[in-house]
Amino acid sequence: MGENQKRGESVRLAFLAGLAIVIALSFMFWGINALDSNLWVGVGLLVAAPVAMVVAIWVYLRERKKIASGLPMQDERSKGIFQKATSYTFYTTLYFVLFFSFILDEPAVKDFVTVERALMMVLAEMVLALLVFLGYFNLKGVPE
Amino acid sequence: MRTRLKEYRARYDLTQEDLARKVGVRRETIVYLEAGKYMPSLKLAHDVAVALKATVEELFIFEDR
Repeated sequence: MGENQKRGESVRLAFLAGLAIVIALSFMFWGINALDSNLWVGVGLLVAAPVAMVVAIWVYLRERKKIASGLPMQDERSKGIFQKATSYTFYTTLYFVLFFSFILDEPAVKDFVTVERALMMVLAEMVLALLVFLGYFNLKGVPE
Repeated sequence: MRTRLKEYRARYDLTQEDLARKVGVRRETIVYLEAGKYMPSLKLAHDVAVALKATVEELFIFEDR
């Protein structure tokens, strides 16, 4: 890996670390705001924030060490896995939204699911699906 | 697909990390390549062959199903 590529990878890693900090801080603010209206959601977010931070720091240190030793953060396999996982997540989310639109007319669901909650559920499904597909394709090793 | 990467790597006393550094990929990619679980691009197969002073045909063996 050349010096230019090394620098590029370091910048990319720093950007991702910054993004992780923003996400963790957002969790914290949402958690504090949610404490009054919904205690469990607030507590959940306040627990998730430091966990996200610790994971982000661990990944950052590990990747920084790899970059310093001349190994790239991304290669054709990891890019392929990410592309495949995102496309599978897209289709899964389409089905999820379709399923959601069918059950939203049910009276029991209608009372419980507000627009904000529906949006949060779809977002959570997207993140979970992406993590599951990334893990699965990473283990399988074949982004064909 | 079977590969002879491990054998060639041992011949030149290279670790998976050394080979990964030589061809510019992550170590995990070499692990999956050796296990025959990852089908490399033509460029990666060529780069690995050059790094191990072999031909693509010698390193990657495709068996009929």
